[in-house]
Amino acid sequence: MMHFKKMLHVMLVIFGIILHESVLHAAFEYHGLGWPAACANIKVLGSPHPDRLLLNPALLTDDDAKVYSFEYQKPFQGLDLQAGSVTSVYTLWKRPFISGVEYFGDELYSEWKLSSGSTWSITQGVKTGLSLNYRQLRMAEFRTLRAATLSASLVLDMGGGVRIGTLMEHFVQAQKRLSIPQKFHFGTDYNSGPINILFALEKEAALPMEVCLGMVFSPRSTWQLAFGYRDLSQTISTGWRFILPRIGMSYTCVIHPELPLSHGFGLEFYFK
Amino acid sequence: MRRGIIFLLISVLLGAQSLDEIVVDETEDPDEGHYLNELLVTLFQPFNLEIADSSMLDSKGFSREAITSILEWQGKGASRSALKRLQKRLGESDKVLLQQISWEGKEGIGLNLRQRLQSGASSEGWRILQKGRLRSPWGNLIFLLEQDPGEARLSDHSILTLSSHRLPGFHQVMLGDFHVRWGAGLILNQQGFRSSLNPNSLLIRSPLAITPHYSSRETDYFRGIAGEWNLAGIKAAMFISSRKAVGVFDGVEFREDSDGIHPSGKQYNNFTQRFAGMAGIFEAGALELFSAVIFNPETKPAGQYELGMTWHISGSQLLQLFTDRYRLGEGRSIIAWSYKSKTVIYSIQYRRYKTTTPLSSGSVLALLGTSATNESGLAIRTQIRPNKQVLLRYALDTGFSSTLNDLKENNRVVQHKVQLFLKQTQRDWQLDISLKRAGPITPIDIWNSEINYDQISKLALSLSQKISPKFQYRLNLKTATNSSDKSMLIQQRLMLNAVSLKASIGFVRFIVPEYGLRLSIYETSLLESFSFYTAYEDGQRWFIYVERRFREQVDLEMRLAHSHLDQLPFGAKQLEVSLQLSIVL
Repeated sequence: MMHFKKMLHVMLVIFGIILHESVLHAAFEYHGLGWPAACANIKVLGSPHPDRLLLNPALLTDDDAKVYSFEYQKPFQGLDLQAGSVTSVYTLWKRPFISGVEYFGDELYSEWKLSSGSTWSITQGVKTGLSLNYRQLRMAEFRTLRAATLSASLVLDMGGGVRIGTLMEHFVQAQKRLSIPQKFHFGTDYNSGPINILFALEKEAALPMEVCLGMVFSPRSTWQLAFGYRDLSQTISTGWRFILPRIGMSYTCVIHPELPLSHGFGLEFYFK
Repeated sequence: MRRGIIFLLISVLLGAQSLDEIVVDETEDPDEGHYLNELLVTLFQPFNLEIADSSMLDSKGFSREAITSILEWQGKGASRSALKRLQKRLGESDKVLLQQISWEGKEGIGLNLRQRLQSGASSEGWRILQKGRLRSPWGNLIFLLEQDPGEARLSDHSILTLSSHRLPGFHQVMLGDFHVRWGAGLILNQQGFRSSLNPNSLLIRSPLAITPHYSSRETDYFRGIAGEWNLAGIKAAMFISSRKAVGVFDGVEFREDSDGIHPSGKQYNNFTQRFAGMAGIFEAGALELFSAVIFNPETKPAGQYELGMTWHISGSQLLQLFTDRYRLGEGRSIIAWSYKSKTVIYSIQYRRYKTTTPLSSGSVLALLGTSATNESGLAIRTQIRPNKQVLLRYALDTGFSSTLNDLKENNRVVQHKVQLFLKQTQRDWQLDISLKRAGPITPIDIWNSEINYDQISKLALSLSQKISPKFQYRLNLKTATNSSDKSMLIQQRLMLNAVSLKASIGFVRFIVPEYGLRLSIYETSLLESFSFYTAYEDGQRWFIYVERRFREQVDLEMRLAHSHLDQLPFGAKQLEVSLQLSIVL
């Protein structure tokens, strides 16, 4: 049984997030789960990490490697909220696919996300991705709400290490009572040697456009350091990642100016 | 008026040679609809080379020889290889025109995508616009999604159109959102009309046409099904539409178009507009007879009709008459005559709108600032080309209230415009002079038997100098003066035009003290205005435009404009940004 005072804290934080993000939001869009969270949670571009691919399948590559990733996060330290995901990259009918399930919540409140997507190469250097999503929101004593959505993305390889990406999240929705906030992402990344610089503009519902900056530094092939900043929420993020031939590990930390710290851990397994 | 007739007589006496179409009209009075059309036509090319008739090809500027060849090509099945052979046979100017028209052919599947992000101090947020067209051998799918500042969804404004040229018996069938051009626009308003100095602008070019709706404006579009066909020598078209119109209404007419933008806090009305229409053209030798009917249950009478006639008197002369006289003593009529020779083109149009019944769709035509429900006026256009280097145009527009219904509605406008183009090896000059007199008739005027006009005179000079094969310099100098104020705009631009990179940097200094002068001095052309807000007050603006092409299929465009207004203490410095990504596959 949750302590009453603690429960009040949880509810305050949830309502804080809801009010901060949008009147329609639940905590769907809290910044950070998995390795992309270390890099300002930019998902329109960046390395093809499973958590990023789940939102933007256009980043999927055609190699045959199977990847499984497990993420665990303790959002807003001191509360009972927990978040986690299981994601898999696999090949089906010679086409790369990504599927995954995410959870966020506590005893009183929970969100489940199921997503699956794939990519199509339109022409040389131009790829598009489509992902089908299912959302479920449950709050104690309230009716459970559900929605199915479709997201579309496009990634252009401009050459010289520059890419441009664009993503429309939940642009088609089938729902009765749960309206999922639509989100538009537009970004570019530049890859030069060990440095990958990311810049993205994200606009969610009627909120102002958010500028996101990220950088991934890979001094060696086995480990990476990431930093990020988002101007609207003023969150700063950082993290590290070890990549061994069969296994990868990552840690992320998101610092919000008003909310408590969030810590996250991730494990990735690679199979040829 | 007297000066116009004298000018006409003088121009008749002048000899002349060949007539090359000059479409550069940058110092014209701008209008937002024009910019929007330019932008959207570039994207979607609603002009279809495969089914375009002679008048549509003529309006694009093709020569008579080229039009004959293109019509032959259409008749032989319109294949891509035949088009390439045809292109080799054409003259240089026709060849350039044909290259500018993208024709994807019947084969294969194609995709055009355009995504634009635009922000500025005037818009207080970002506008996200996404447009696309999917082309297949069976037809086209067009979509437009728009989210404006204050709106919650990416698809707050959306347009979807499915069209096909492959249905047996039909030239085209369209499902979704579409525009309708109907005769002379007497029973159905045609937005986007722009008064031009080109003599062809006074003629009704395509009396019936249905094109996909590709703009975000609320007025003048329909939702339903439309089709065009040709049976027993009659070209015909019909449509059935039912849609929710959003805006501010006066009865069933728009008073304010919400322009696809529904900002929070502003109340717009919803109104269901139901329309059906049918029109046909019958060609009998030199005569083209036009008839159209519109049915709108919300108006009285519910059915309105328009009749028209185009008589090709000879190869050089044309007479047009359109009317919608449906009630005794009321009606609208347009009569136009045009004469075309190798050197001279004349067009004269007289219009008389004497009715209290509004047009069927959109706000009434606002030619010369008067109301189309009660207006008569004369428009004259003359174009003289004494040699290949010089082109001279003159335009006269007059507008008067037909009947004295209300003193507030009684306006009269007279406008003269002269335009001169001079083409030299390394540079082009353009000079525009205009004088516009406009004003309401007041009781004092009637009492004194005299009319006090507001007068705006305008002078514009443009120089385009070729510096090198890749670099070009342009200077625009514009002034406008009314009875109390003077305004001025000086614009300089340096342009780079390479194979995969286009760039432009420019500077504008503007002094526009009065709102009425704003349109007269407005920056011109899509590129130069950046489709950002009008420069107004006293200030200056820097702008940068870069367009980079990648892999021959992807264009990335960036526009930056930084304005500094001298007199405003807050928000005096304004940065406007536009990013655009275009993919053509």
